[in-house]
Order: sequence, then C-alpha cells, then structure tokens
Amino acid sequence: MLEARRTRVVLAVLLVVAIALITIDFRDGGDSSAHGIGGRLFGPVERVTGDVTGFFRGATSGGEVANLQKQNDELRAELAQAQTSKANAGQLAKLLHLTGAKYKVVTGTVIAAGGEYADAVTINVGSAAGVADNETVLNGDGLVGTVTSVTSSTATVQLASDAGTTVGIRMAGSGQIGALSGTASSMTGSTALRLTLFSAKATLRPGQELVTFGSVGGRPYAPGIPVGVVSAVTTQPGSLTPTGIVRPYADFTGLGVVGVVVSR
Amino acid sequence: MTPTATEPTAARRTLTGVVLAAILLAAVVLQLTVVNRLPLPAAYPDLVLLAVTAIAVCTGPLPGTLAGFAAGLALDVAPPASHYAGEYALVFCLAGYGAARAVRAIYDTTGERDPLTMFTVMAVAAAAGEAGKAALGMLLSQPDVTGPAIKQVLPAAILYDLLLAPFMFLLVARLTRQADQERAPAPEFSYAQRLASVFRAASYGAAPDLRLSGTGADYRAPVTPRRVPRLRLDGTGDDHRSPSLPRSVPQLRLSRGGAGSIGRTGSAASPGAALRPAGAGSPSLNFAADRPARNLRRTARSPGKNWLRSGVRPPRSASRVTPRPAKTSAVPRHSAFRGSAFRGSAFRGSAFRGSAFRGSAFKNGASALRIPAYRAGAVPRIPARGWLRAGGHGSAQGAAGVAGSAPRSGAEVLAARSAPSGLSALSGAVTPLARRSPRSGWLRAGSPSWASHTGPRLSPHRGWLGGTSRSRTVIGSTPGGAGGPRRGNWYTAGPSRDWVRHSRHPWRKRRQRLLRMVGVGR
Repeated sequence: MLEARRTRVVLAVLLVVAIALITIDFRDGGDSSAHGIGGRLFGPVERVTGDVTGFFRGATSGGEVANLQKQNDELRAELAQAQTSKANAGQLAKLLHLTGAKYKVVTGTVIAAGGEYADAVTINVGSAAGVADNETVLNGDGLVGTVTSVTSSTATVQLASDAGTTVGIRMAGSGQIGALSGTASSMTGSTALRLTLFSAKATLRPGQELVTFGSVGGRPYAPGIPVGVVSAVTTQPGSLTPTGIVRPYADFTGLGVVGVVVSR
Repeated sequence: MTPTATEPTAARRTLTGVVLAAILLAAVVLQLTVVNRLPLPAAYPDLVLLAVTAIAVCTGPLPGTLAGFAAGLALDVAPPASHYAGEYALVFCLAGYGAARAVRAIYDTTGERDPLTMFTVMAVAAAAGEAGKAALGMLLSQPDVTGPAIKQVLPAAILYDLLLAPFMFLLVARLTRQADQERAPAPEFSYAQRLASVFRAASYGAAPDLRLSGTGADYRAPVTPRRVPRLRLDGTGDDHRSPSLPRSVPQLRLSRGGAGSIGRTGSAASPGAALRPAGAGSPSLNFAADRPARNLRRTARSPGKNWLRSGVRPPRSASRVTPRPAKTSAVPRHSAFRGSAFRGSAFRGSAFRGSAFRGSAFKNGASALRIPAYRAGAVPRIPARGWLRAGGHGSAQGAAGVAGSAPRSGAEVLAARSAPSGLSALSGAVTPLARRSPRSGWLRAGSPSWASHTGPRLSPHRGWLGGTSRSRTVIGSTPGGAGGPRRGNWYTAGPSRDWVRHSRHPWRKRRQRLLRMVGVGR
C-alpha cells in the first residue's frame, strides 16, 4: 500500500506539472521556452539521426542529388523574384517595401517530422546558418512553409498544409488576391488547401495557378513563389465568394531538401 | 519493486532501468525522424506510446507513470512538435499508470499474470492513449485536431499501434523478464500454481496466511501483503498483514488492563489506572467486582437508599488477577455481593469513611466470597465493591467519596451529563468522565489515546447488566500494544460502529472456523 500511495502522489504531481506546462504554453501561444529547451536537447540528436537515415535515403547534404536540389531551389527563388519584379515591380515594391535585393537561399534537409496532428518538419539548418523565424521555406516544386522556431542547428518549419497556416496568394493570371489555408491532417494523405478569394466578382475556375502574394519584407512569405493549382471550385451556400480546393505543388509527405529564403 | 528474498540486485535493476530509458529515448528519436516520415496513409504508429505502455505493464505503476511522463514530455518539446508542451506528457502519464494499475488489479484478483493478459492491457492502453491525444488536442482547440481529422486518423493510428505492439511488448518483456527471473525460478508445477491461485481467490480475506500446502507462494512475486487485496475482515480493524494474535488469546483477561489488551477488566483491576486515562474504560468487562458504583448516585440522590452503598474499596496491591473466565463468570455473585453490600451499608452511617473501614470491608468481602479466580490473585478484591459500588479510585475516588456526603459534586454533575440517557438511572454514578483523573484527559473526550485504551465495552445492555454471559473478546484486536485497533466504547464521543460490525459479521464465524481447522486459532 505504501508503494501504491507513493505512486498516486507521484502521479498527481506529474499531472499537475503537465497541466502547468500546458497552461504556460497555451498562454504563450505554443511558443514557450520549453520548446527552446527541447530543441537544444533533441536537436543534435535528431540531426545525427537524420543524417544517418538520410544516408540510406541517398539524400545526404553532400550528395549529388542534394546539390542539384539546392541549385533548383535557388533557381526557383530567383525565378519568383524575377517574375515578381517584371509583373508589377513598382507597385509591389512600394507596397511591400521590398528591398529588391537578391534572395539568398540556405538549403537544408528534413530530419524529423511531426505526428498525425502536426504538419511540421525539422530541418538541419538553424540560426548558425543564418536562418531566422518567419522565413519562407520552399523547394524545387513550390512553397513549403515558414520557419516557426529556430535553434542553433535546427529549424522547425510549419508547412503550408497545416491547419493553422494562412498564406496570402495571388492568382497567376488575373492577379486576384485571396487567402489559402491548410486543412487538418493534410499531411496524412488528403493534401488539399482551401482557397478563398477576397473579391466577390473574381472568377475562379480549376486549373488556375497560385503564387504567393508576399509579405512585408518577405516575411513570412516571399512574393511570387508558386503554391499550387486550383483543382476544384465549390460555392458554399451563403458565401459571397467561391471556395477553391488547391492542390499544392510541393509534396508535403515526401519532403527532402528544402531551401530557406534568408532575407538579410 | 516487491521486497522479496530473492530480490534482483541493485545493479541489475539499475541496468534494467537504464535500458528502459534508452528504449524510450530511442523510441522518441525514431518516432520523429523515421516513423513520422514514412509514407503511410492516414496516420503513423506511435512508438513512444507503445514503449510506455509496454514498460508499464511489464514493471509497475510507478515506473509506468514516470516513463509516460518523461517520454511524453520529450515528444512535447522535441523540435518539430507544434502542440502545446505537456499534452503528451499528461496523456502518456495517465496511460502508463492506468495500464500498470490494470495489470496489477488483474493480478490481485485472479493471481494470473500471463503475457497475453499483459499484452491485452497494453494494447487497450495504447488505444486509449491515442484517443487521449486526440481528445486533449481537441480540448485545447488545436487547429489540426478537428473532428474529420480525428475520424480519419484515429482508427488508422490504433491499427498501426496494434500491429506494432507485439514487437514492442516482446522487446520490453524480454528485458524486464530477465530481471524478473533473477527473483525466483520459474515453477514446474503449473497445476499446483493454478490451484494456488484459485485457493487464494477463494479464501481470500478469510485466512490470509493460509496457503495450499506444497504450492508455495506465487513463484514470480511471492504474495506480499500488498499484493493481496486489502479486503479486511470487517470490523477487525487491523489488516491481514499482521494476522492478529488475539484470535487465540484467552477471551477474558483479568490481568492489568494495559493499553490495548483485549478483554480488559477495566481500571478496577489495573493498579495504575488511577493515574491513567485508561480508567475511562473501566467497565469493559463486567465482572461483578468491576461494577461501577451505581449506588453512588443513588445515594446522592436519595439518601434513603443508603443501604445499598458499600464501603470504599481497599487499596489494592494486586497487580494481576489470573484470568479465569469460566469460573469468574460462574460466580453466584448476586447473593454474595449483596451480602457484602449490606455489610457495607453498616459503615454508611457515618459520613466519613476512613481507611480504617477499608481494611475490614476488604476482609469481610474476601471471606464472603470464595471465588477461585480471586483466590489466585495476590490480594483478592471485594466483590461487594464491584457489584454495588464502583471501583472508583484515584481522584475519582475522592470525588465519589465526596459525592456520598455532598451530593452533586462537580464530578458527579459531569458524570450525570456524560452518562447515556438510557442508563443514567443505574450507571450514571461513575462514568469514565468522572472517574478519570482530570489531567489525563477528561477534557479531551474521544481522543485516540483514550479510545484505544477503552476496552471492548460494547453494548450497554449486555455490558452492564448481562454480566459475562458474552465473551467480550474482540476478534482482531491486538493485545498489549498501542498499535492495536482503535475502538471506542459507547462512552467515546462518537457512536462506535466497530462493535456493531465485528460482533455479528458473518466473516467472523467463518474465519474462526477456518482458523480452527488449520489449528491457528485456539
């Protein structure tokens, strides 16, 4: 009985601690220092493990494939910048206070991923490589997500498919703007993003392409990065604007090498 | 965990603990870096949850709880985590504790601890953990955890877990079983074991110390008292862990009514009682000699009945009175006592009863009674005093003496107040409150020390008037020890439920019979 009582006491204490942690993290919006400590503790371990497993995947950072993917990422970023400046460079620059500087892309490899209920990955570049919070992450296909937390050697990327993400987009042809939000559990199969246009008069039809609208200073989203293509359009009753289902270019379940747009 | 004779060495246990911790860490890292990146549809298996539940069912509640908390916290703060820190710690902690408690409860009730049961518990706990993760995420309104998402993810996750659970269970069970095997060798007579378990379940609570001969204790973890369900014999107060001796103790003990001794004869027989609060329990055994002086009050109220009063009791030097239950109870006390009572009334004429009278009263009383039990004592007591007069002694004696001449003294008022209503006419004369020396506790009524001192004075009806027709031995009480069951009599502050229960509880007869069969009792 003594042991049972002691166990109950321990259980009660641990539950209280857990609830306190949840409360603190909830208050801080999921960004309490516990995550920082955990990142410092587990970051190196995951990095080593990611390198080991990446070796079997053939996606080590020194490999040929990785080099090509890195080149691809940089080209993609440059292309996005060029297209943006060509389209309406003046307006956007004035609007977004774009610096006009050339994007610098830091490439990293995904070393860990969240579970079913979290569309987030960890990459093996961190603040030591110049990565900071709220920087755009892309790969050769298109937009991946944005950096949410950084340790010295790792960075956590919140994918665009996460239900908590909203990306400002622009229709490639018409220039209509809208918001693209992730849907829950999109990482586990049904990868679909939901598009809502702001203008009620805008036409939305399948096949249209989306690029990022861009944010102030390129953070969290740099402008002009391709996101996906509209695959279906639904008009919900009572809604002013049509809702589109967007199939993203990037394959969120098979992410390997990604690039972080470092805006320095 | 169980302190057994063949306990695994500390080094071995430490090694097992380290290995289990390493398994947990490996599970966390593999989960994040490998499993979560597998191109699986709909969900991923949760290696960490499986490891936690496996450790829980293979070890115990405390390791299960700790493992669950630690592993869950690691998952909470390891980098890609986007949920709130503490969520998985909470869920896994509960899952580990629940799984371990379930295994232990099953073991306690059935005595079985086969791997299939443990695995079943583990699988159920893992499924519950998955559901708990989803529920807590939904509770905290995480954007990713929505109804459709759960509907899609949860069945798949449970399915994956069940597929992976056997491997994890075998791994952990093998690691912990090695530590277990050092504890005791595996048995060879499986039938005897099974019989033992059945026997234990059947006789459980009745005779905790009985074991089927030849089967021995359980091989893996010998039945420590903790393992046995704490079903207590109702009313016995103590637990089976220390099988109480009093079952075989003589039913009446006239010896000094020390603290906790059963069948106390009360303060009248205990020489030092005047100095102790134990005097409160004086009317515990109702020998005639121990009768409280109910005539004191009567005298005080109605002096005309003075003849019922007897002399003041003599200073007793007897420290022990040999227990002779049968003979004592067979004393034809009424006539003998009444004779002495009449004789005592002769002394009542004078308002002052000195000690000079005591000697004669004592002498006469002794000659009037030819009771073997009293003869055996060093100095026999006067039955007259016991019958009609309380064995008031110490300061209460003084109060009683004063009460004879000066009615309604303070002590008597107290006595009258504290006496039970139905008995006030007869027994209100000297109640424990009045009798105890004031310094030792008449102000703290119902204090544990007092309650533990009071003997098995059970029901007023039988106790006061029924003589010794009924044995007052309390089954399960511990003789001579403050650690004995605490049991109040009807004087204590609250109505004692104890005597009601243990006096007529069906287990009593059964247990006595069983014990007698085995030869433990009697």
